[in-house]
Amino acid sequence: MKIKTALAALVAMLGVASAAHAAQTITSGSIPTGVDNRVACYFRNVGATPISFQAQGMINFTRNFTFPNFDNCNGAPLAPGRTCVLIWNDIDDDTSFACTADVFGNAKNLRAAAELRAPVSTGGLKVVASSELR
Amino acid sequence: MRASIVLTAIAFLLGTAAASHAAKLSSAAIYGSIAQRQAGCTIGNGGPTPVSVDAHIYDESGNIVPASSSCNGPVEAGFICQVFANIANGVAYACSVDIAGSAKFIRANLTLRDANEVPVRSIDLR
Repeated sequence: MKIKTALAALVAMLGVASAAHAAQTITSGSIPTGVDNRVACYFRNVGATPISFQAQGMINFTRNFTFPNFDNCNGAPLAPGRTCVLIWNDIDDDTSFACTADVFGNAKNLRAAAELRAPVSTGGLKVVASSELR
Repeated sequence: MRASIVLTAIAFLLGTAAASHAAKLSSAAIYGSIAQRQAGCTIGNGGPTPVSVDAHIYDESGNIVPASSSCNGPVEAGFICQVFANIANGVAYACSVDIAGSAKFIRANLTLRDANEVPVRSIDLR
């Protein structure tokens, strides 16, 4: 009886652990922003099958607070070998920005990075900080 | 006998789980440029529960750099805290965070910025 109970507990624990692999969230570090900064979230599928995920940016690690000016990631699975991006043309000043994605399946073959771009004196923009999603 | 083996296995699993409830994330030491003036370590909690953290910025000698910090209490779920320090322009700096719990949902980043608060270099803590 004791063995049955113990085994049932073990099976329950392992079941919880495997259920957690059904959807995976990957998130970048939060990068401090300044004036006239642009940001981007890049996602690349390095696997052999399409990957479905829901991507978004976060201000100070809060979801559903900012929305990209361009987005070719959400709405369709990312095909093998392809890269998609979310771009913000002017992110909120003096906050911090991070990218996150809820991956429906295994995130093993998804490589992703958050980038912060700042204006340079000679004109144009330069990537000045980045953080990988994991 | 079988019961004791099974119970030992369960105790081992639980022990492993308990051991994972204190963690540390650290960056490498990074140097930005002669323009670097400020280091900021940003710690985000992407998990469902508050997490207490103890974060510091370090110089090349391993000394804690005096800093202002908002990481004095637990970081709420879906929020950040930050440590900022004024830094010299000729040496590298690092950030370390002690976490009272699992680091699974914690993401942290050290960014060195110039006098105009424009980043010159950044690195993730792992």
